[in-house]
Amino acid sequence: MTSEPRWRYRWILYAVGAATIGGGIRGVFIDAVGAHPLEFAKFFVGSAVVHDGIIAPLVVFAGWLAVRRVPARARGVVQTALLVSGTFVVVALPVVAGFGRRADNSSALPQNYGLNLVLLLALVWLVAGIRLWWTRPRRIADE
Amino acid sequence: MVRRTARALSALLRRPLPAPPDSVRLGPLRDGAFTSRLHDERNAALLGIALGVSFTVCFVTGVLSHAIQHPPSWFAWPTRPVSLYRVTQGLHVATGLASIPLLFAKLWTVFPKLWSWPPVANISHALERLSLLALVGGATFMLFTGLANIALWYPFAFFFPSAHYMGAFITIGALLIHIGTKATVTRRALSRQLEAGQPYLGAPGALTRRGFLWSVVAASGAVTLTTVGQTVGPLRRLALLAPRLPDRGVQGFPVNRSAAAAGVIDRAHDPGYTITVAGGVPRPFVVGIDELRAMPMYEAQLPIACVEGWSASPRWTGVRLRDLLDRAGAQATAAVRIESLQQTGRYRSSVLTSDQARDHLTLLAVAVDGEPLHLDHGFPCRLIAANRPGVMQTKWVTKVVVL
Repeated sequence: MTSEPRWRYRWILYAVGAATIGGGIRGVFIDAVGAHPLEFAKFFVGSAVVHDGIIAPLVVFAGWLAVRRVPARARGVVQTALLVSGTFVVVALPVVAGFGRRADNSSALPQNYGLNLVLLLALVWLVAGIRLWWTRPRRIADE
Repeated sequence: MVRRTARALSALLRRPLPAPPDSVRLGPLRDGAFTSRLHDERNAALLGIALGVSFTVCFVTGVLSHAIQHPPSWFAWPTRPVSLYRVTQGLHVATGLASIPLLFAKLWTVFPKLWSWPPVANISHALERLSLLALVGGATFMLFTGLANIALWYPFAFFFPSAHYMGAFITIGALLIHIGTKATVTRRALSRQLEAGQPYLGAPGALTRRGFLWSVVAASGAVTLTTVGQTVGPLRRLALLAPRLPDRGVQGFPVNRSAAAAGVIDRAHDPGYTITVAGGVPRPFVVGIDELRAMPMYEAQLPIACVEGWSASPRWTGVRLRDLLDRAGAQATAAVRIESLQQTGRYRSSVLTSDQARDHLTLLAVAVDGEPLHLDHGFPCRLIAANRPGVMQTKWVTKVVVL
């Protein structure tokens, strides 16, 4: 536990923040039919647990691998490409899985998202490859 | 007296709690378990500020959208500019999507703090960690439910708008508390002279702090470029991950709820289909669809802007609602409820204020882009009005009730 310096007027934000949280929790119970308190709590805490328990460790591991296994010259570029790729995968997952497709509505999820995701990932790594090739160490030609 | 109580309270909150034995301090709990230099106070501060801005934009536009759909008595939403809601809701969804890499990066940056030792030092520390659960849970919950909703994926039993709305208050409240605890540290981290000549201790060739931040910006930009075309026309070709395309769907724009899903196919095709204008009026009347089509027709190019963040702006043709209201002798100050053939569902009717009802652009449309409305777009007749969420542009209209 570090003892960080604290802002003098923080209590004002604490009070407003706690009241706002209280309002939200109260709202969940008032609109119990819609917000479904138990399911709400499950997904609210579940989101944090899934992130901290699964996603974050995977990312930490990927970063560790990138530093251990990738040669120094390519490390930064590979890390950036991993970061952008990972973001694309997360954002694309729900549409690639296509749970929202409807037989009666062709305008819902109208694209081939699996293919689009592959194209985007290919583009990311192509750009990374070009960048590495461009900055490759070159021998100075003999005069 | 007050001061003494405050001091006593402060002392109580900070009294050390017994720490667990060091023998359980394993794995990520060990000292120095996280080695990357990118777990850095300054990056945490900058990402935090970026998220503070993006979450505020999401919160304000989201609460606005909720207020438009469930207006409190003091709230009035104007009819102009006609595309204002298209912009605010497009911004809501685009900002939420752009926040996803920001949030991942921020949580990764501070991840070692999750494993701080001892886990709970005193009551004040316990309260702070509890508020962080509200913040981390809230932020991930909001982005996850939002992302699922635009993909029309509902793996949860709650009604999305209710839970997303209430979750927003918990998240913003926790964010305020977090700003309170971190304001001073953030200022210090940002004003710190960044050690220009100090040797970089990370693995050679690995991302620098600045490189990491630029990568996050690139990821955020990449998500925006590949999705925002669902509402920003010129970027339509790049919208490879957009759940909707503004030009894809029957008659060239998307459908949210089809006629089959709404269960109105038979009644919409019924030759006895009529529109009733009634309620608080001296001359209520009923018209058939042919009679409606024989009334003076007007055109309006108005956006259909969905809460899910897509929008399109076709040219509608129809009867002005105010002409129907005048024929029934409705008062100029009366609000109006438009009812659909749908027999159930939260969106089977919508209310127009007197300003909206009397707006010369507010139509009961029978055609779009020169063709009779498709069944999925509300055939025989739908409401279209300026500056409203798509769910309030009631389809398959059968009744106009003057309130």
